[in-house]
Amino acid sequence: MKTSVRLSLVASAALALTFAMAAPHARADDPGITPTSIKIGMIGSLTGPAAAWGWPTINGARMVYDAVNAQGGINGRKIELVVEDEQCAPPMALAAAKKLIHRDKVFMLHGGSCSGSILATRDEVLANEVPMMILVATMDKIVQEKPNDYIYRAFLPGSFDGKIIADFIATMPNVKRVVVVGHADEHAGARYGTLTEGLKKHGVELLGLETIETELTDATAQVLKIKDAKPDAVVLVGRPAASAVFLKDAHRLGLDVPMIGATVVDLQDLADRIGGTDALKNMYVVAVYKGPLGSEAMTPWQEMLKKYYPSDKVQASSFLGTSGALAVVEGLKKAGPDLTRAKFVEAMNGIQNLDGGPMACSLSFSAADHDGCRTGVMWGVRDGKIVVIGDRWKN
Amino acid sequence: MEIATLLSVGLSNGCLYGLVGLGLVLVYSSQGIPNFAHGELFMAGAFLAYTAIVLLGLPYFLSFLIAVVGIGLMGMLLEWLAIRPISLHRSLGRASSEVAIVLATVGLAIVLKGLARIPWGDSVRNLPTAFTTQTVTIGGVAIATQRLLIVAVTLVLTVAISVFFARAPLGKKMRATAQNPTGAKLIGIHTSNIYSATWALAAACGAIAGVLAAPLIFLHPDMGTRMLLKGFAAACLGGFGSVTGVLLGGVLMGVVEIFAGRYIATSMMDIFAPIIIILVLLFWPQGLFGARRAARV
Amino acid sequence: MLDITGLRAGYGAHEVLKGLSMRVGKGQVVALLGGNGAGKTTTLSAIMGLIPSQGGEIAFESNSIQGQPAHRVFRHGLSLVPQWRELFTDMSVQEHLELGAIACASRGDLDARVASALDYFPELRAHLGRRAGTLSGGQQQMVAIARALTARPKLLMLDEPSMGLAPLVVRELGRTIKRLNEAGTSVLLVEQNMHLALGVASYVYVIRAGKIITHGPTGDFHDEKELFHSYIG
Ligand SMILES: Nc1ncnc2c1ncn2[C@@H]1O[C@H](COP(=O)(O)OP(=O)(O)OP(=O)(O)O)[C@@H](O)[C@H]1O
Ligand SMILES: [Mg+2]
Repeated sequence: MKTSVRLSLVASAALALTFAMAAPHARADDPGITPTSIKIGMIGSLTGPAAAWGWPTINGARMVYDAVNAQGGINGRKIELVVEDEQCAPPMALAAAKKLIHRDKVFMLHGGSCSGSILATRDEVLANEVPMMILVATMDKIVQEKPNDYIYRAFLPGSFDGKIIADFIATMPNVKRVVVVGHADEHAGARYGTLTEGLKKHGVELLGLETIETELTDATAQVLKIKDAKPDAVVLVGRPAASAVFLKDAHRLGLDVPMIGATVVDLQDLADRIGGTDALKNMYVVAVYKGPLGSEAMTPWQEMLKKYYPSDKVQASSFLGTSGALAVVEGLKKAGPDLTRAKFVEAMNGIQNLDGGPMACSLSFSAADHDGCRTGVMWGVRDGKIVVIGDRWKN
Repeated sequence: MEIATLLSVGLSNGCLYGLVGLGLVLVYSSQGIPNFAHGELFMAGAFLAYTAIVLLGLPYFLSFLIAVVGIGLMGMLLEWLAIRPISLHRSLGRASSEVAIVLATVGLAIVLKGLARIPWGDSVRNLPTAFTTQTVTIGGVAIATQRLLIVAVTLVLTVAISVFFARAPLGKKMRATAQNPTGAKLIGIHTSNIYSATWALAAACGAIAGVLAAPLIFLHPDMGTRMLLKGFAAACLGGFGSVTGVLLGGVLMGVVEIFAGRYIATSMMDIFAPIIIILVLLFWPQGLFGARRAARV
Repeated sequence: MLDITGLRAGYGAHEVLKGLSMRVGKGQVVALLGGNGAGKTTTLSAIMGLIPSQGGEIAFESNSIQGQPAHRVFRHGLSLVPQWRELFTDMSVQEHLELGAIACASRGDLDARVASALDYFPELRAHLGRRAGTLSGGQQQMVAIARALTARPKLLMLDEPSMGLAPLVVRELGRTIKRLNEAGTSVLLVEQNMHLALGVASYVYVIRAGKIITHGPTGDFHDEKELFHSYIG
């Protein structure tokens, strides 16, 4: 009796050890997969301060999964979604990630509308080796910080704005001196580094940084100051409301040099705020989409949204999460019928030049770089209409 | 030229600060408390005007009137619902009931802002300006017509309110109640009603400021927060006691702010209000333009 | 005209008046005498409705005024000149006189009301534009009484009007009270200055610890010292 107890103890300990050692490498059946389904957990700001971004961006990604399911799924498996609310608050985001990973046992995550809160889930996601696609959070380090073997992003991260603007300015003839106008917050700060670096590289002189408050009500002082400096162009890194105030006052006070705006603003939205495109004649904005809403490039995506979520308003933020879902679907297909998390990660790292759908960039991932989308495109106003300029001045 | 442009903007901004400050001063001098919900009355005024103009398609000046009267009534209702029960609560001493009322106004601010988020959410809204002509050029300086309207309305309102306090029976009752509530009760004044009327007047002033400011700053449930700070600074400069004092305080704020932004640093502009509040409260508690503070027992 | 029976009132849990009864007849000047903290001011405050009463009955001209707030009591024709005067420091003398009648239904004769109030205090004529806060103590007392007079009260209640005044001014005050009474105003005078009180009142109540301990026509109290000791205890 005694011996047999000891024996069985040793046996089970050995067994446990074998499992423990084997587990991280070749788990035969990863969670969230059955022969007919793949469970994906989505996290978004459904309530709270960024609620305006919640459902629109989630549904813009979900419609891709819906469309895939409608065609029979991937290798016979349909995608099953569980949606959790992060309320744009770090503890809520972490709680949502833990629930999805441990309780719902999802195969992977697709989520994050607020950079600050989704950053809080990073350690939990990496420690559990759960693949994750970022929904719409722009902060660089969520994806770019090392080590990161599991977290991917398929749209333009914040800092790339700066580089795109600098490259665009370099193609403008006679623009040698620029002033930057922007907020003193983290959101704008993410763009300044690559912007100054890029301008320096192209030999463009940076005359100074004018701060504007996010709740700016009047920009007379800033505009007059900038006029004094006589720049050839102005870079505007402001949130929509403040940018609109600045542009209105610049127009009124006759500051008529070209202005280049970051992705923070959207030309159509600015025109709505200002009431017309008069003040925007000289404005260029980095855009992430292939074209404005209603343009040919966007029509299939707008129709897809209408088909699956007919009550959703078609708006600029609707398709920010779409490219992420497209990349996930591609990764799942390439990973083959014997799906595991490891195989999925390997497949993701192999994606090259995948069409970004509504996004202006094509998606390429590698084991070293999980930020798949690195280019945007310039939009401007021509004859009162918003048009795609490309990535060169007057293209 | 540049000076004139800066002045025109500084002056009109200052008038707005003064108008917001005026509402604060009215409640403060009658009840001795800063009304932290005043910024939300400002916001509510702007949204009510938006509803009338944009959603119902009513003419501008009629909508303006609806907003002012509507928010005036709302101020009265708030006083009746949230403030009066506290001040009539006999078990509280005067000091603790004042603290309770201040906290009640903070609570009101949060509730009103939260309620505004339900219908209005976070999307973009513009309140149209009063005139279709956006700017006029005076002596080579392009000035927004909305800014001229702001200055004109503020001046007229300041004169009207000064006359109201000096001549109208209700104005006199308000002053008497502000200076000595017991004395006022003894001459037959229903002081509770005077407080309601004061809230109504203060709220109406807030609504006027909101409707005037909205075309410049866009509509948003949070739009009152920053304005409250500016109005508070104006009221501090004005010594929290006189109608003309708070207007002068506001104008000084607006002008100094924009010149400092232009010639020192634009990043300074928004920290100006809190600095003024602290400095004035520390060194000139009577305010710079406060001829005399209403005596409170 | 004023009948109080078994009045109980105080501040929160602290009961000051413990069943006080007294009456003021029409056309009378009645004095209420008592030491510090006896409850004189509390009595007037309870009558006027500045503080609630916990029991008993207050009737004015046979109507109950108990539990009514001050602005309602005022409308029955009662005016109180409070111990601390309660003036509007930043307002002028003229404004005080006008404000006195601001809650009266018939204000068409405002000028007449102000003029007749000034007849009692001609000295104020020279100071009509001055702010009340800048006047001397005696003048402030005049403003406080004159403010109450413009309302033309049926019963005027004075709470220690002699407090802080020079003897000469007190004597003048006594004459004024008599004139007022002759003109038809009933007066309830609260005093610690016995000389003034006995000089003008026809009936005297003495209050101690919230109760009337003795009362009677002024003639019964010829010995001021004895009276004084009765309420000092
Ligand atoms: N507001 C108050 N709160 C609490 N207790 C009070 C208040 N006012 C007066 N008292 C108390 O009530 C009692 C009676 O006060 P009251 O003022 O009626 O006396 P009084 O006879 O008018 O005295 P005095 O001659 O000093 O004016 C005193 O013990 C006093 O301390
Ligand atoms: Mg007393």
